[in-house]
Amino acid sequence: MGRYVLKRLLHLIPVLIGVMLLAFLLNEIAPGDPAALLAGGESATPEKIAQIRAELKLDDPFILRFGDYVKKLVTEGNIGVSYKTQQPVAAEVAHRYPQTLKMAAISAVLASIIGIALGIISAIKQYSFIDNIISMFSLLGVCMPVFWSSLLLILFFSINLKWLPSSGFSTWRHWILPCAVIGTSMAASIVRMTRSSMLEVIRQDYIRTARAKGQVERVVISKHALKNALIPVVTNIGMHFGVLLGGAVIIETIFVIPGIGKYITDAIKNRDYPVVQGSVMVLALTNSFVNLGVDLLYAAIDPRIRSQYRNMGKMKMKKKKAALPLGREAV
Amino acid sequence: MRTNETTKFLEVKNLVIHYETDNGVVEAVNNISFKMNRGETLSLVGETGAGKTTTALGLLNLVPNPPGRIIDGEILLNGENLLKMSPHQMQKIRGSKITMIFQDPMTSLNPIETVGDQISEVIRLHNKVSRAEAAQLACDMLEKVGIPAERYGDYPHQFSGGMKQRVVIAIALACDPELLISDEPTSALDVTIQAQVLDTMWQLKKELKTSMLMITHDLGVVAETSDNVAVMYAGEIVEYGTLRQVFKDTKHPYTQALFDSLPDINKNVQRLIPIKGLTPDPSSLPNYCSFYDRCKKRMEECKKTDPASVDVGDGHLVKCLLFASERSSHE
Repeated sequence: MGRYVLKRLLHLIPVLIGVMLLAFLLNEIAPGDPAALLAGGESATPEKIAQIRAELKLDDPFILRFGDYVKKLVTEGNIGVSYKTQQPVAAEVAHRYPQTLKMAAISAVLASIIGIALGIISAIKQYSFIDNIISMFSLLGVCMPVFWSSLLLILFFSINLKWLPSSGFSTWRHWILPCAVIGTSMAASIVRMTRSSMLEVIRQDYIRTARAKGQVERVVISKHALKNALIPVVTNIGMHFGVLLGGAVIIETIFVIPGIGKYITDAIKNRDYPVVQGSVMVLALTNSFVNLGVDLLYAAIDPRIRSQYRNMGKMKMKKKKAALPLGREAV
Repeated sequence: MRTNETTKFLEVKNLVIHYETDNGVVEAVNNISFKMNRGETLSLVGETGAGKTTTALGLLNLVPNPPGRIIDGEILLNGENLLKMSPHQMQKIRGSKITMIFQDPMTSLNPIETVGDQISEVIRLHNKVSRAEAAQLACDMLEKVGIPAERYGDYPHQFSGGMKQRVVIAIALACDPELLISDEPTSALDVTIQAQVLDTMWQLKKELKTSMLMITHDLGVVAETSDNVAVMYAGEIVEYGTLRQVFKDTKHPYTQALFDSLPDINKNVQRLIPIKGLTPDPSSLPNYCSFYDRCKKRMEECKKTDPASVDVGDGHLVKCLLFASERSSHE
């Protein structure tokens, strides 16, 4: 198991190199000139633009700039300095990422608890009134675009009732609306996933075996059915969480939360390439960790996956042995 | 019947089980009655879809509902009607007094629990023992079915089909049941493994003096193991008697046809005799004898009425008009 984790961590190196190269290339081929924007847009003089290009070393060949970037990253741990503010990207990300993380974590935890609970109820009471109600609302939740539900909630809770602030992030009250919006749409999809997965598992023979043992229904559902049904649900939650970590741009914009999503989109607008580059790297790293976390969670739930992970190392050894000429392994 | 009133152990009276689907009512079990003595082995034989498994699930009150429903009848275990019991009382019977070995060992075990835990679960449910004691008993049980106790902590995917069925047998026999229902316990296994598994089951059954309801379509197994035999066709018992009565003094044309379709090592025949036609659609059973369309000895009267079971001597029951005149109707 430890081997598996180590292997996955080593995999991060090629992934990050790939992401770095891709982000650099995309910035390179994207239209627009950062120097022109920094010099003042339309009104800038060619001399001024040329001066800025020279300062930012934008005229150097691609390979040189990329080499320079990698060198700084490896030697100084520097993921870039913003063209616009001249501030290190890492500092700004460190300042903004906690907001995004907080929003993603609160929403995901709430959505998982509510989503899984409602999904189970919906499945064990299939076709009942309560199942119909839950199914209808989860369909609605999946279909509603977040910008629209955000605006509705603001209209209702901030403007009409004046209970909650409509924007900002300083107190816990500010977090209620954005987390509610993200949480609802996420919970809706978790409900649907949990319901269908539970319905499938409940029909399995081993559930009948558990009942034939005389196990009480509550334990049959919570111990035998739920654990088996959770595997696809965990994937779903992990995927959502990964996306949320990339920043919920629309939510961050509507509720004026300085998260990473807004940071990146602003940087793209301003052609602030080092910011894009640096943030994308950070996102790639955290997403890789989320994926690793999900995979480890699988292993925790399912012993079949656990032994698969364990056997990965062994199988390679066997293949190597098999590749040797006959009799060699005896040596 | 030959049954001695004092030792009467299981009595099923006029059991009717239907599956109510959108496409109509499937009449799976129609008005069947049988009795079993303590320690006796009764075989329920018949083609796929004859209602054997549904009958067995009915005894445990585990017919999947919806769509299945026990419409009518009584199931008396030691004189107590199981169908009148509360869910809680029934849970105490399942796994301790009546247990079941299911058809497909591959899917009968929970894939994410160790086999040991699955055995000790049933022990803990029905006995007041500590976790450690239950684990010890489960280990003993594993040894009894021929699996080393060290494999307590292994998961089902680490076992072969035959081994899994042994685990299922261990679960079924762990609480020393009064009645063991085995639903085609070997039909999903290789022939060589079949003999081993049957042998294990047999030894344990004798050791524990368990009564057994054996569901099978393997007449060879029936001949080797049963005291009494009930032949089912289209949800009804068409012939019931001791092994000798049914095998040597076969009365019902369907039973006769079943034997004719078997290869006989002592006879030199070029072709086996199949039973022509298909079993009737259980969602639209005829109101006359359900074997009429395939019967070689059918008569005009057969299409007019549904025959009642008749005792043709010493408790040998036959549900056929051919014998209606021999004895008075059995009710």
